[in-house]
Amino acid sequence: MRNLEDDNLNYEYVPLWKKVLKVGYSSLISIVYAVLVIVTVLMVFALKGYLIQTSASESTANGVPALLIVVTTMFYNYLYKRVSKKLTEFENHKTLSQFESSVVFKQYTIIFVNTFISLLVYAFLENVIPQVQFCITKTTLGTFVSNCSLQVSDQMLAFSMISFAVDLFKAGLPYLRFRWRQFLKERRQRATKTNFGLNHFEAVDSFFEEQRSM
Amino acid sequence: MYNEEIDCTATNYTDFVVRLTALTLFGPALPFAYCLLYFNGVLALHTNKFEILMLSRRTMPVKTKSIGIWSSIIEIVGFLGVVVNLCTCAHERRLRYLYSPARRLLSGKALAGFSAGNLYPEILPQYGLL
Repeated sequence: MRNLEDDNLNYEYVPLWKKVLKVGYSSLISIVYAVLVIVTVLMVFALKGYLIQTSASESTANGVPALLIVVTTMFYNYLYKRVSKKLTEFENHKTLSQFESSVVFKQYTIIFVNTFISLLVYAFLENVIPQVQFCITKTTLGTFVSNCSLQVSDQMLAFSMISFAVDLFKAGLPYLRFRWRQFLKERRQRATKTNFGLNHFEAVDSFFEEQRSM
Repeated sequence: MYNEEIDCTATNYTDFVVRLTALTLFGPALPFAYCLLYFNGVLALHTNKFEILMLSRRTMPVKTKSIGIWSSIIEIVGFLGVVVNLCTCAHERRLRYLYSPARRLLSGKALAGFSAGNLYPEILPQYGLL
């Protein structure tokens, strides 16, 4: 490989064995992280089954596991964003594009596992571990319903609504801030116009007033 | 030193690809999600446009040949989508076949001694079998 500093055509950035070891080490950590995520989600499902069998209220039995899944998903995504950058810096890539590809692949893999593991469990694991009863929910009448298709569609609806709400929030907050700043600026300009008799030089150049307000 | 704001534009695609993945893998479970996420995408487009034009520093133009690693990821997601949807169809079809009246007609002994009510009590009423 060509060295960017002294044009050495046979330059090797790091020894191959060292590079393989580093990538293998960071991949191992990523795999352990993914397994941790899966185990957490399965534990939440087990907790849900336990709550349904013991708890009396329907809202506790259905609401607490859903809240736990949302919180753990957000926490694991946030944590891994930091971890993945550290791991990729440790891998010591030569170019920015290699670095970006590595970060993106790591982050996307964990986000995929984190976001869709519950959907995959609902869709396919109901018969694999029948003792856990993944799809069972408690109705308001106190009866038990086990319908995995309904659970998958509910999860998809929740995912879509959350995405929509997040985008709305992302759009709304900066827009409101922008409009508020514009409103303050216009009000200041209006006040300047009304005080024209006192500071008539501002009609020519408002630079001093702007600097003073900053 | 690596600076995400300046260097890395690639991570900005994450949200879009996650939504694409959701639709590709599990869209048939809720067809309304296609509509909802379409409007979501339009909203996200205008959000990003507003942010780039009004609220952030001028972006650095960078010439690229492709979207990089995202292209490979989207290909993998497409493949997974085919597999997952086929598995879902097969799973549903197996359940339908297991409790279908046609099966009972074709093989009279098939359900002999079979207590279906213990296995799928929630599905049987949909097919009028319980």
